[in-house]
Amino acid sequence: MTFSVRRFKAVAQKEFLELRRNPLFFLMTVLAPLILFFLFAYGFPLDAKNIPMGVLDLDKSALSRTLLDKFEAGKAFRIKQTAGDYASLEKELSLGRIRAILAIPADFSRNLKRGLPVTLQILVDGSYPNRANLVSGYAEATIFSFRTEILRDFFIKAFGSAGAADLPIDLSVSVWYNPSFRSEDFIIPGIIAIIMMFFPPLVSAISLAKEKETGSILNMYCSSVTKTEYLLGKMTPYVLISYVNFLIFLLCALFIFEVPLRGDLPALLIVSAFYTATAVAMGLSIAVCVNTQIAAILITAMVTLTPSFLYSGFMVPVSSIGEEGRLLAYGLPATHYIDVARKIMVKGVGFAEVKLSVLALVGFCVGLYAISIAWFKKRLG
Amino acid sequence: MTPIIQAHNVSKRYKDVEAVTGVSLSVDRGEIFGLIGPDGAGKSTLIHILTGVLRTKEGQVTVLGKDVLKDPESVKTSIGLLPQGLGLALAAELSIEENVNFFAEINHVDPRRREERKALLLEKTQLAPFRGRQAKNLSGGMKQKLALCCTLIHEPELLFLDEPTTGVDPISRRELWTLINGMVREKGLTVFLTTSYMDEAARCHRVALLHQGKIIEEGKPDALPFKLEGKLAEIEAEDQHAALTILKKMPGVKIVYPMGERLSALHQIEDLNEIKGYAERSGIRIKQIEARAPSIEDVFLSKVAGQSEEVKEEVFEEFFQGKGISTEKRSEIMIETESLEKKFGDFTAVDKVSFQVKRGEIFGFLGPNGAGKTTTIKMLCGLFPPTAGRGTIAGLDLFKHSFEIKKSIGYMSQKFSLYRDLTVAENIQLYGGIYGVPPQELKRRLELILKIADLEGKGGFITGDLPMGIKQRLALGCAIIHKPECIFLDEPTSGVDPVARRKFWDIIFLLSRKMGVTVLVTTHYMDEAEQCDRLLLIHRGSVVALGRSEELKNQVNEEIGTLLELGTSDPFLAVEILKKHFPHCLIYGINVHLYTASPDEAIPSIRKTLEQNQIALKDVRKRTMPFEDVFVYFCEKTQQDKK
Repeated sequence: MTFSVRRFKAVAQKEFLELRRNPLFFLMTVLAPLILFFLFAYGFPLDAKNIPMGVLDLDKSALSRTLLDKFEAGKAFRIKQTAGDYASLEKELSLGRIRAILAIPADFSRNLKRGLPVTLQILVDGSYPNRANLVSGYAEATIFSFRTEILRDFFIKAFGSAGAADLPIDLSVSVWYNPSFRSEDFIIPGIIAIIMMFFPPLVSAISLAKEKETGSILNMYCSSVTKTEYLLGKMTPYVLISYVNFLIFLLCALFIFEVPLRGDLPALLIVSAFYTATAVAMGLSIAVCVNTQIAAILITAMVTLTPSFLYSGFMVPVSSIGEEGRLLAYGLPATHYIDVARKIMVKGVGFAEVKLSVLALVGFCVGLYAISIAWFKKRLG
Repeated sequence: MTPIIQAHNVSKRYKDVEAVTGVSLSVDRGEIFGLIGPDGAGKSTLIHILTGVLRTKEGQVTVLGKDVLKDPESVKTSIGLLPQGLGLALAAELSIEENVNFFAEINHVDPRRREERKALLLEKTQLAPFRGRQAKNLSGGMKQKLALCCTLIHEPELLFLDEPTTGVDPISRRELWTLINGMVREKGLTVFLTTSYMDEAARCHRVALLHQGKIIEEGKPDALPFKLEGKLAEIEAEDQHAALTILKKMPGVKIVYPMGERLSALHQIEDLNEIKGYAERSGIRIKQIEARAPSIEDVFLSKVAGQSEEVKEEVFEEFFQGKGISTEKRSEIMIETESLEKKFGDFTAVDKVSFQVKRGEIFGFLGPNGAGKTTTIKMLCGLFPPTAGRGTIAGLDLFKHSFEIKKSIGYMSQKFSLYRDLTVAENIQLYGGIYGVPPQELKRRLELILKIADLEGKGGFITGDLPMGIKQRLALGCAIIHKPECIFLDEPTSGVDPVARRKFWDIIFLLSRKMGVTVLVTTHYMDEAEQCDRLLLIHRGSVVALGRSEELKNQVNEEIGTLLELGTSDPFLAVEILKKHFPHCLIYGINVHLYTASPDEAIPSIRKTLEQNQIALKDVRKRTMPFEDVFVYFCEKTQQDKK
């Protein structure tokens, strides 16, 4: 049967008008995603700051003082306790009042001056492995930068002030961690991806399931509108509104959270359009299979939000997920989108570098609509 | 001419339930075909199969010459379906105009043609002044009228209507029927519909009675009553309820039920005096007994009734642990309102409503959809506070004692108020728990409520699976679990078939007459209205009539004269023409009802007018006024007064 643009338009227009007049419309499609976006963006626990740290300084020299200043100077640590013995610090750690202990041995400055290796001990509260990783990372970074300074001092002493410029090795901390502890740059594109995988599928799934549940869809079953016209028409407003939503998120990311946009903007916009359409199609394909709104809501939350949150590389890099998990990860549109978005925004690449992921997204999009239309029957039961 | 619908040996099975079994039927072009049957008979299933929306492997269905089971899409441009449920077909947020336009676009209606048709349809349904109003803000009757406009906008050849008038008030029902008839007459439309109103069945060209998935009777509406097995008697007794109880026990009497203030009995007894004698031997005086011509409803009742036990009075006595109330108590005022008012913003939903209900009375609350019936009941139940006015229930003030009031009232809401996923017993226990019935006592009442609801031994059934009629009885049982003095029933029988409705009313009767429970009930069924002791008619929030049904009928007689019932060859056209000369002229079933102060002089002029328009006047009868006419009269009267 031929595709009638007129019928498609009629369905899309009706759906849009209904949506716009629904008192919950603004809440569901704009406000709720936006609130969730900010909740995530501000509250995400990955970015550790002001970690309370206890110090056991047995050396109490000028050098150990410099090291502690170094720790104080960064945003990561706040030295909370310097007094007491090891046992009392350990107790503080176990009570959760401090998250890490830095122990400076008594021979710290003496050995350093002699050019002997020194060992600093850092004890980290490991109850949250993720945070523990961060804490030790930050600590290592601080110590690294301390070492660079000592090295520089050494060179200055040896070759005069000019020598500093000729540092034989550049040991910038940012080489191996974000220099300003800006995890936002990585987290925000991920949050956009996750939220776009939650609300659009949810509202589109509800919209179709509602018609099935109330029986109003019988009229469509019984009319000459084809299933392609009906489904695409019904989904169009959701794709458009969700895309507007995405644009708002993008503006917030760029101007409020100051995430850089180093790469190709048109590329990002096009990829995001496909991702939005895919998200809506996920909801559609679920609603095609179920008959009630509640089933649509539950399955959507289970199939779209949860796996995307856990496996898409949003929290943990895909490469560090186990083998079985990785298979699932590549089966998620969010995985590919997060990859593309991060690369374009932070790394500054163009289309060419992300074409595989883009191809995957286009595939998901077309595939999901095709499956939904194929599965949908203009029949009851 | 080949039939427009031809079904042969169609069956449909859901898992282990056979919904439709070996149904064969054919519908000719230009016919109105009515499918009647009790709830769960398979009416909707059959409609869904015929429209190609439901697949079945057994049988053949040809619609408009196409095989619907093989190629359902081929007929869809030429058919229209109005699914069951008030306003379900509509997009709630869209306006009347937008809804019609949407359906026009979906069906590729030419925009110029669309505007013409839309104007015509909206005018005929009197929706034109409300073009811009959103569907969600329309009353039930208006929603159905709009839904019908939407299914007619593409000029389908064949229209399927699934219970189009359930929950719709008599005035809107008339308008719907006038529209359907006009389309059939002028455009040659064919209509296939299901209904639970027997007067509507009589308006069809042909009807089929579907029972347990099988067609058990089929024929012209006027031929069908002759298939009744047995004879009918109309009985007027001094004590209607006592007579009902006695006659139910009489051998040879199959079914007895109240009909207005009289009783109707289906029997196999040669001499009516035998019935009279039987009653009088038990001390019941029969004032009058006469034979009555059968209607479709009688056929329906006789074919479908009799599978379940009658409700026993003893069960109620046991439940209430006592026998009714004394006569002097019956004169106590139970419900009293004075200028009760409810406003929602600028809109006055209930406007200065005052009435009194005595203890043990059955008080009927009538009015078109959206008249303010439900709002009034909700105020009386303390569900929301009145804007102004005064009200007491059992002497308790509506404002001051809204909490105490709740203990002495039972409420059954318009929509099904039980939890569908709970079992029958769990629902009863839930209500018992809410009202604080002690566990031991609750156990006792549970058994009795199961008996009342015809669910003995079925406490473990899932409530959602029960037939509509049984569910409503269960809901009533739950509403009386705390032995309230007063119950509020909001459209308890909407969508329930005649058999189940009779049983429901048996319970209402027992509660009122024997147990002294005050009943305030709303309904769109006019036969039920006549069973009430007193009636209150409200329209657009205001009281338009209050009194006993006989009193209201007398009032109508005084104001517009006596009733003539006219049998004509084309009742809908006849009404249209006669209205010009006789303003009080309306359709009733397949007849025309005409009110005139001077009936004998009017008859020749009626005959002449009809003959000039090629309508045959088959017969003219004087008959007692049906309550529907009273309802329509009072509502239309206030409508004109307001204009």
